[in-house]
Amino acid sequence: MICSIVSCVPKNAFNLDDYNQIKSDDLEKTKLFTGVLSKRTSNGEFSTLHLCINAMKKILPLNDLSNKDVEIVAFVTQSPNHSVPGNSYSVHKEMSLSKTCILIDLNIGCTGWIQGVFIVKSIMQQHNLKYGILLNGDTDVLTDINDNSTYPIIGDAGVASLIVNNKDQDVNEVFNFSYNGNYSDAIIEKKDTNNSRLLKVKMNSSLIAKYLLTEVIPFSKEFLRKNNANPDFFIPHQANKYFVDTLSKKLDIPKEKTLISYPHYGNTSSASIPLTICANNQVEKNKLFYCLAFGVGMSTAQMLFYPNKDMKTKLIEI
Amino acid sequence: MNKLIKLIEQEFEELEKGIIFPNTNLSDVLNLDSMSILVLIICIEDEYGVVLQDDEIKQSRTFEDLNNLIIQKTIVN
Repeated sequence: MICSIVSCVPKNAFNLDDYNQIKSDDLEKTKLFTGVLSKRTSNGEFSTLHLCINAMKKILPLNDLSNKDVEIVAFVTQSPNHSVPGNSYSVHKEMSLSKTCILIDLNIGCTGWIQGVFIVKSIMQQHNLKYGILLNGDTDVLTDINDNSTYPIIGDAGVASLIVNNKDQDVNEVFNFSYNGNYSDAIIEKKDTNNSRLLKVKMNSSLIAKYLLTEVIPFSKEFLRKNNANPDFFIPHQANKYFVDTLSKKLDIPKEKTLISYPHYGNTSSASIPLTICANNQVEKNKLFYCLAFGVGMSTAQMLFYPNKDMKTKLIEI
Repeated sequence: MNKLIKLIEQEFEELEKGIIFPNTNLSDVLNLDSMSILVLIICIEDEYGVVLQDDEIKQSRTFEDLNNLIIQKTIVN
């Protein structure tokens, strides 16, 4: 089960009011639509790896664990420091992990936290491992500063989640996944307009909207119905205000049960759900949490779980 | 037609009220950038239960054309 989450963001905030790549009318429209007032950016000073290692350095002592206790590390990112080797090897070196610690690198976007929890938990159960660390993060290096549909809203964050294999609580999380490769063009890397060697992520908003309406919403309604679930808290992927409000409305979940972090952190890809849990640290745990993410692929991932009342969460800045 | 105009005025808060008529050009008022099209797709689905494609919206010259497209799609559904 997920026992602890530590999120790490850069101190440096980028206020949307300072975004001068577009006309002021368009900026107001962007703010109204996305609900993002500011995001965190490291301006290239910190990488995803750096943010995640800082989160991991905090989560282990917070839970009275040493580096050698960790038996599996999965690193989920689409902005690794290097394609070869994967970020998990840098984590292994930096954290002096055990030589038998399993290392996995996963290229997954916004659904990466839920998919990561599922993958790590499944391996841990299969191989009887006790402690696992899931790292999720991305930075805005993937975005083009002139693209107002990505740059002003994609924020930097790195998250470490501690997963503990408790045999008596192994059914604590219920998962559901759905994929449709026909939407692969909806969020895709394309060559940067200014530098043909650089790749930047482009979003086709109307394709994403179509996927949301025709697949995400029906899947989520079915998932909640099948599990007879009436969540106490809804934690959607923080894509933007319009999508979050649409999901709450369509799923008939009141706004006061919907946790958000986008106004001050933007869309932080696979880190957005755990970061939102950390940013809403005051909400009562031991309640039914419903996490719903959709994104690159396109893919949809859902998870229902009861966080332990002692689940330790923390949001740190560097 | 009035229902569609009211819906658009409600969804696009920044728009001045009373400037949309059936023969008003869609692109003159809404700019038809990716954000506007996304809002149109979602609010029209919510109100009428039909999912429009972005090229269908772009091919609608006026608000009347858009309204006719919605009616046509509603009948097919």
